[in-house]
Amino acid sequence: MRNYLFFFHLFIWFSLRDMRKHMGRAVTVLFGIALGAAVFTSVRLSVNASLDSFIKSMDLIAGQADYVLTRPGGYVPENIISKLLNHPAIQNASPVLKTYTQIAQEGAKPFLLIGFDPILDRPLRNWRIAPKNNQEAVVWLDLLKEPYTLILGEPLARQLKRSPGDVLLLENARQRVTFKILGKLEREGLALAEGGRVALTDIATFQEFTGLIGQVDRIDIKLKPDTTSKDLDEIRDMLPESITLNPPSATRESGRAMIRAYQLNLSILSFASLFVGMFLVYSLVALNAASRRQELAILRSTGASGYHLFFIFLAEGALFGVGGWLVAIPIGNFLIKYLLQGVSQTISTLFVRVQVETLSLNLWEILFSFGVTVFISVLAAYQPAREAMQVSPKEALEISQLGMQPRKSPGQLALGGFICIFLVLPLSRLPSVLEMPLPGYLSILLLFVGFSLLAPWALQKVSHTFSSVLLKRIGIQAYLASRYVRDSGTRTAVSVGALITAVALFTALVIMIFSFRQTVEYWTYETLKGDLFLTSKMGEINRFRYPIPRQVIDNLQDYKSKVDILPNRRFFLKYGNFPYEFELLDMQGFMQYASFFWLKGNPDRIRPMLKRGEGVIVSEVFSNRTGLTVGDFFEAQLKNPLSNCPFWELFVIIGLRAVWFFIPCRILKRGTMKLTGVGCASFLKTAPRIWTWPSQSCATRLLTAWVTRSICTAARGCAVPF
Amino acid sequence: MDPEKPQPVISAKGLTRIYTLGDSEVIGISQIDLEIAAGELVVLKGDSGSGKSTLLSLLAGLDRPTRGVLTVADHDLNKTSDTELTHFRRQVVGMIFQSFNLLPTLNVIENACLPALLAGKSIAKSRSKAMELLKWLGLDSRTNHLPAQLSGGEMQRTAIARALINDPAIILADEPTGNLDSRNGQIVIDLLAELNRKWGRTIMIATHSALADSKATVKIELKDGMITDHS
Repeated sequence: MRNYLFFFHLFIWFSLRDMRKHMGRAVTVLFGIALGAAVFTSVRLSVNASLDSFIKSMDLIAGQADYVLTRPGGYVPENIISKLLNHPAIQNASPVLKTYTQIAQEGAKPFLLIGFDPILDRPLRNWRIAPKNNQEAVVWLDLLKEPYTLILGEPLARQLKRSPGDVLLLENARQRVTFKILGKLEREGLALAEGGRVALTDIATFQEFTGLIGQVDRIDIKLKPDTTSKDLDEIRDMLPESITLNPPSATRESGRAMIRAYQLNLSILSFASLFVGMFLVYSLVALNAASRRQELAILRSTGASGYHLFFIFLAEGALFGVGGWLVAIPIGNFLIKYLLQGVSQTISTLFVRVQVETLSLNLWEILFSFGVTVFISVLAAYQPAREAMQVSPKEALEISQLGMQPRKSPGQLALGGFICIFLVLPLSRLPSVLEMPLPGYLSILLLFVGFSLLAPWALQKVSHTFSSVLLKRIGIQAYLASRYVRDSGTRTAVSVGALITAVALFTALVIMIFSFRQTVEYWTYETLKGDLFLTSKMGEINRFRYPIPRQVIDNLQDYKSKVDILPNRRFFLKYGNFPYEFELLDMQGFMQYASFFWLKGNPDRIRPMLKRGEGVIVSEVFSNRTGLTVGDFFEAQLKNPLSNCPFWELFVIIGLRAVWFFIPCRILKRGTMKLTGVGCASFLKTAPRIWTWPSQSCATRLLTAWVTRSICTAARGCAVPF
Repeated sequence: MDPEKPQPVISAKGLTRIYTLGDSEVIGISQIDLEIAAGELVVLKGDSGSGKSTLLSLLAGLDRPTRGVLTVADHDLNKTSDTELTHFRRQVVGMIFQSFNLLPTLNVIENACLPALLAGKSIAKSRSKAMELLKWLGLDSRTNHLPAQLSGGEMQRTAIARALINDPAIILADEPTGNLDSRNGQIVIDLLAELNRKWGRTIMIATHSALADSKATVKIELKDGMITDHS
């Protein structure tokens, strides 16, 4: 105890008083580490809040259901319900349809509309109409018998400034319809999904509104308590082959997995900001250790051990970590407002719809953030602390310059650097560990370390070559400066590392911002050369589940002589547990105006095959994650049974989008899968004039389509025929 | 060994220290044979580069010999580990430097206390002992001053307090008057002489100056790293 107390005193006497003397430096470093900690923590909290919101919504929507019936890439026929309800193991079955819709008004925000059967749904989900003169029963009877009626979540009603008895003009891909508001939901159960931005309507109304007559998204079932696996097999057997029966957690888990992957990437990127803070801590502690070398020698000569000095400098690092973390709290409080919005929007766009209501602060996340910040700071102080530890007590005497240990030679450091750089490529090719791209991250780190270690050697060479020139041209100052930089060894290496990291971060951010714009340009001018993109309303948010109406497609045929129309359709499917996006294109038309960036093989051989409708192209990520590669056969289930689905051969291309692949439409024409005309995102080529779609903002549509396309199409590489 | 003869507090045989600078070797001291009894006041004289500081650094446990045998207060400094050497510096020797070597962020009493605290003594006991020494050295009114606020003489007296705080067996002073005017230099030498005379401390002073000559019980002359005179 006495030792700890003394160390505390020594730390105050030796370190804190010195920091007070150089307050500017200390505050700068504190602010640097605080900024890193704030970014790191805010990003994590934002993603966690989005993840929590998603899980909460999924759980609330799933309710008490034990299993969910879905049809990948299609809808479940409603008439199955009667069969299910007749099965002795099934206690309840309730059909559900969901879509995002919005009021027909400029700038309106979409909300979730759930179509359900109020009677069948009662045992499965918790929802209640807010009491209005004790007329709850009347309200939901009206919901059943009156078409185009709905009940709003209380927050939604408040945001829309509507009350029971008011009307809402809602729109979707097909039409605009006026709904009457029957009531508001109590703030419990289902009404809490999507932060309360939810509305309930009768399933029949929903089907009329969306045109999905006789079809539902899913059927939730609740089993009797004594249900056996044999009963489950029986239920599976009575279902059409294309319908899957899974616990509701399966969807939740796949969504969670996607967000987790995004969380990991963001955490790594935000960790890099902490990394820059780490370099600041290193620089200051190293500066202290170097400039106070004489004092360290005095301490050693008066009886301080090397470990005393080591721990003093580690404590300096820890102090910056703790202080930085505390300063990060108000900074994070400011940052998180913006990050939460950005992160939840990105997750909604790329993965699953999330509506963040509250920011949840859990103890683990706080401790994690604190621990990482302090650890990083202590780690930054480690090397200077080790150098301080090695200060010889004889440096307190005038003979200090004699007999000093030579530092590690730049040649040795450079050798280490070359080894690191050499390892980058093979390491980056290794498969991910526990579904995390750790080898990739490690190879980036090795790249930083490698070039940092090369720096002293390179500086030595440059200094050797140019010092005489510097002396002649600029003078003794330049000569001495070059010699100083050359001799600063490890400190130079770390500074170079910091510079590389900072530049890499900046570049990454620039790429993140500009890649969208650049990709749009690529897509527009190089890849697609489309003039106009046509998508259904709220296509992105509804995962393109509602195709462009038949009538619109028919109307488009009138322009065939003037424009080339390239149809496209997307489905969200799963390969095992791996979710991906399945995109259908008219390759014949596509290849006239567009191309892919191929990863392998000879594109000249592949293109004719694609035009003939042979083969499938998958993204590099899809290939990596599923293990499927060029020459393998791929099996997908859409609306029809597997037995009728062709097996597709694969081509691999690099893509920015995580999970998607293209197949030529011709295959679908040959197979039994029926395309309902043109897909949800079409693009047109006009020459020379631009064709505009009536009643739509051309610019908005173009932008929507570009952003959507930009993610999925900027790819590079080549495919290999097998 | 002669039982009548007192055990020397410092014993060196063939003591050599060679520094390597690049490809060349610099001889600090060479083949030094030395025996100093307890209670002596040794004045170590010689020109710059003669090896005085090198010899002191070896005796103080700041450095290790290249060759030879060195025993100080029953500690065989050839065989001690780094940890033992640290304990040796804390407990056995007190060091006084030409440039005072006070820590600039510590005030007078904290500087004086430091070796005692490093030796594991309580803060209260260390302060009390430091106050006693500072009073004797005439610094009791300057205890809360930082080194930058002190005169050279005051700084050197603070350094003496620091050297004495752990009651070391030997006090080694490397040019203690080198940065002082003659009056302050004389005060410092007188204090060291008093320590030797009154309290029987073994003191070794490496100096160019003649101030300590009259106080010396042993004089050693060094030249080119070797003893040329021992009287």
